[in-house]
Amino acid sequence: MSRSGEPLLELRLSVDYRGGSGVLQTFELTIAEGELIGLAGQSGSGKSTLALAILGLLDERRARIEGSIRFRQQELLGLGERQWRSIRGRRIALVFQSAVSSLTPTMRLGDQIREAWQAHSNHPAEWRMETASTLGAVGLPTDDSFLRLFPRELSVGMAQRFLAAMAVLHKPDLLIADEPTSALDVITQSELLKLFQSLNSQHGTAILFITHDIAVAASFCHRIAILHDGAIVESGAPATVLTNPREEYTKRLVSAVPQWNLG
Amino acid sequence: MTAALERRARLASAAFLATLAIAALAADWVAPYQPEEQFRETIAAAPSSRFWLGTDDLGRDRFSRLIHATRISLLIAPAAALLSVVLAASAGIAAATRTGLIGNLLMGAADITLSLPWLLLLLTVRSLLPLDVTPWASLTLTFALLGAIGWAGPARVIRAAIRELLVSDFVISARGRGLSKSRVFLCHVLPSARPVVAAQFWSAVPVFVLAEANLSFLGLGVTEPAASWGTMLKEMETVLAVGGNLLNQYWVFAPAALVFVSVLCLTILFPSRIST
Amino acid sequence: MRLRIIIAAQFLGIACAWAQQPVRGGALRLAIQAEPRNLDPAQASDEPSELVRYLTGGVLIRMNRLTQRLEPALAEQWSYDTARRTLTLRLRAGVRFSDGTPFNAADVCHTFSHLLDPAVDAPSAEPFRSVKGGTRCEVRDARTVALRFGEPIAAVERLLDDVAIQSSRSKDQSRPTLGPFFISDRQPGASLVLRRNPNYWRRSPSGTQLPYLDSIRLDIQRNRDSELVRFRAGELHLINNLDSQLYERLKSQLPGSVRDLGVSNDTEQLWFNQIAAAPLPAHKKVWFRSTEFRKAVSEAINRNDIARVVFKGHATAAVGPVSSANHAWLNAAIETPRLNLKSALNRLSGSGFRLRDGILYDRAGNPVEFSLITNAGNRSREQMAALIQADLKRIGIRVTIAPLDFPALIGRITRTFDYDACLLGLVMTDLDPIAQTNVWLSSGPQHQWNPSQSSPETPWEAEIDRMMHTVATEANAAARKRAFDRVQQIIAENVPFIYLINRHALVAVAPDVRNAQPAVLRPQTLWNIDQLWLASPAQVPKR
Ligand SMILES: Nc1ncnc2c1ncn2[C@@H]1O[C@H](COP(=O)(O)OP(=O)(O)OP(=O)(O)O)[C@@H](O)[C@H]1O
Ligand SMILES: [Mg+2]
Repeated sequence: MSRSGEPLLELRLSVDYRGGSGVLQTFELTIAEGELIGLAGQSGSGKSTLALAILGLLDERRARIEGSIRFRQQELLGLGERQWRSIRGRRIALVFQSAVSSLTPTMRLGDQIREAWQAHSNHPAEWRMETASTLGAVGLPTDDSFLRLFPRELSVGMAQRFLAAMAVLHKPDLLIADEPTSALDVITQSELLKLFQSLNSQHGTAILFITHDIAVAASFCHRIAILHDGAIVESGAPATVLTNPREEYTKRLVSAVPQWNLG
Repeated sequence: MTAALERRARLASAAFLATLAIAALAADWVAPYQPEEQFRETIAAAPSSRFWLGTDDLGRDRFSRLIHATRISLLIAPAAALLSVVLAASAGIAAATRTGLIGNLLMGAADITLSLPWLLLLLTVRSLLPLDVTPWASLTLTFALLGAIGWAGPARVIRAAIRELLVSDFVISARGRGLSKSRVFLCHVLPSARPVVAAQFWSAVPVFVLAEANLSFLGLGVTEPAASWGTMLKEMETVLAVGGNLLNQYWVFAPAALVFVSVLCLTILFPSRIST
Repeated sequence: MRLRIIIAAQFLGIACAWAQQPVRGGALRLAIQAEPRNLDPAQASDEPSELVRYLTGGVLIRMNRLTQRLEPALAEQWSYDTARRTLTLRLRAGVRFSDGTPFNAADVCHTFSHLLDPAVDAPSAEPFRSVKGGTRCEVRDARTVALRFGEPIAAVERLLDDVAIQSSRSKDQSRPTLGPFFISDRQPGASLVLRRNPNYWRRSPSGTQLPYLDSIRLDIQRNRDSELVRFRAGELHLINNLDSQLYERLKSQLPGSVRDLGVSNDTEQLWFNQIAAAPLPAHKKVWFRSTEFRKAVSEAINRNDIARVVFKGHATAAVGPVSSANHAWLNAAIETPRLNLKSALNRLSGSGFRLRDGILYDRAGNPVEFSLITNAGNRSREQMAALIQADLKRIGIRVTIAPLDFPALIGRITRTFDYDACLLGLVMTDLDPIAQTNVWLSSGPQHQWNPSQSSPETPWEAEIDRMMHTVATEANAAARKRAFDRVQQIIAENVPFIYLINRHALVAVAPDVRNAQPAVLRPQTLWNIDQLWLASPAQVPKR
């Protein structure tokens, strides 16, 4: 799919939490259709805040958001709840950072994934079939006994894969993955990344891949952006950013990566 | 307490309360006499084969009265607790989900409720009531009033719990999947709030049993000739205050012992801490 | 050895002789149930204030609470003129107030002008003010005062027992005093200390200046149980108006200290609301205004059970408004109402009521039920109500008991009139029926069953009005007695008040209090306060 033409997402954002200094300060980012973009930055730099902001999920009581979020020419800021809902999970999906606490503890897995399917489907009855393939793709069982489990009965890795499965159910245009691989062993991690990649190649899903593991980002993304002090300080092809960091901050980030192997 | 001991204690409590509840429900069959029947020739009698716990100052069988009192107190206190917790949950949920004016108004009302001179208000309400309310009606009303007063504290707790849940990861995550606010609230938030609400309910029950006792002390609540735990506790008042020979009339304390043990059982069965 | 015995014997003899002899000094301690609301003697209307007035105030004429006769106090003699419109009083010579200033006729008239001042609104002035043409006080000379009334009057000298003479020189209404004590210290909410009036006019037969006591400490102690506990611990010397339950308890612990003085003048009664304008259903008004209905209720109540069960025998079934404690005024011809269910049911069926399946219905088929209000927290009234409830159930009447807090109760019986029946007691402070005018006159505000009528609604109330007029104005004592006998007769025939019992006067006196002669009339143990003295601990038998 072409990466030229109109951008998929165009951001210009400032976010403040009440009682704190600005987390994002006129943060600018453009994501092209079908782009795999890695966003790296220190813990606390505002990556998760950005992810929530794009989906309009920031707690309006505590956070103030200014600027614009243009998704396929449509301004998202200021949308009504109903319009937001038609976007969330269908056109822009989110894999939340803390996998275990992101699943509702009182609901069985089957109920949660069915609900995620039915939120945007015209064929609510077909949820079993539709979800089974996705669950299989992330390496999770699809049988009844699994669907009857409660989240607390899953390992952290399984929970993260389950979350990812729910996020990709509707083949969104943009997938925001907030550190989806942090709790996974290397093999599962690569399986999940493969899922994302095939989603990207088969359905043209753009992925905003948030991580502080710059190595993973580099191996996976077309482009890497570095977030520091509330703004993008550097952005470019992984090789360029990693081998020839221009900004002082990027240099420190790169040098902090152990066993950096360009090959 | 070891787990085994705790289990045994819970079992014993449940058995005790169940027996009590059955006896109370079947009061008309279990009690040897009508609770208001006055044996005026044997007033303030000691326990005997005829009157198992003796008689009160008007010659009424204390055992029969205690059983009927149990029906009133033990079965209606949960009703009052339920009322107050339902009110508290509604107010707490509304205050947590509606920010701005409505939420502030509700919590303001809770604060006022907590600080009102309820004793005076209860007295006023009682004096405004029609005089010919039946003992059962006046009792139900008393519990309704208690329930109406008792909502404020639990409402605050429930509101805090719901607000915390509303910004929890799984709720944000569910909304990120495009679920409607109401669905998220009903299926994701409320079930997690249930233990909090339940804890409020079970800790309210013993409170209401004792509150009714205190109201009866004030001439509110249960009126003659009906008996409640409260009115039966009142009987001890003079004995205690004047400090006569207590050992000579230990049976006067039977109601107090029953109330104590029942409340103890309730707290053993339903510890008020929030289970997670 | 011999010598020692002799000395010991002598010493014993002295001690014994001494024990008979009153000792001056000591502080008497007792409890009052509430803070006196007003220390101005003219305005005393609550029991604590009246007690303080009794202990501190000097009066012209005192009623001996034991003999129920009037005795000279600050007035040595008094007499009416032939028209009975002037009462002339000759004052005692050489009397001084507690601050040393002399007492004379000007003080008496000062007291009356204060008492009769409408702005003061003195409760004890009511009988003087209700005299047609008013009451005036005239100073004849330094030792002679005349009270002049606008119409012929009777028995007004009895009312002087309530009038404490105040000093015309003092701004403070409660000081200086002419009685045995004066208020020396007041801790609001806690206590009141009265100190001996060094200039009190009275002396003992042997010539000792009275009172014997140095001081009286009145502790404000709302809770009567605590009062009892403190009495047992020796912290209080006297208890007045014990309730029967506490009396029995104290009797089992300190048998020597309690006394049942017999029937008092206080009454306990039940009445039905007969007010035409009351917000009650019409059919209820019909019952309540039916004499037969009231009589049936009266006959269905077991008064002896009330006396025995509720009051542990320390009460006696009541005859009417006058108890047998009041020898002068009791109408001995009236019989005590007896329990008679058969007669009660006959009366009811005779006036259209029907008993079906244990429930009484009126002519129109309404089940007969009424609510009975009484003051909450009064244990014996609540128990009486429970007995009455059980008694009336036997003639098919359902009674709902509604204990109300006192202000709400008063509001219902004096303002809104929204009640069916009420159970209350009346405290009778005076033996003479002149003090009950407010209760018996159909225009009186305390004519509880139907107060403040513009003209009497029933012939029998009209007759009571006429009789009470005679009681208030007739000079002849026998004629007054005949008139009030008739009032008692009419009340017995029409039962506007269903009299239940008269409580006995129950008191407790600590063993170290000497000369105590408790009387049925208030202030019971304290009426001869100037004669009371305290034995020293050595003279008191061990408790
Ligand atoms: N609800 C909130 N209220 C107030 N401050 C918040 C809130 N959430 C996050 N913050 C603050 O905003 C800043 C950015 O937080 P954010 O979670 O976006 O960082 P992050 O880059 O995702 O970090 P990590 O790599 O640890 O996930 C932090 O300083 C955090 O303390
Ligand atoms: Mg984060």
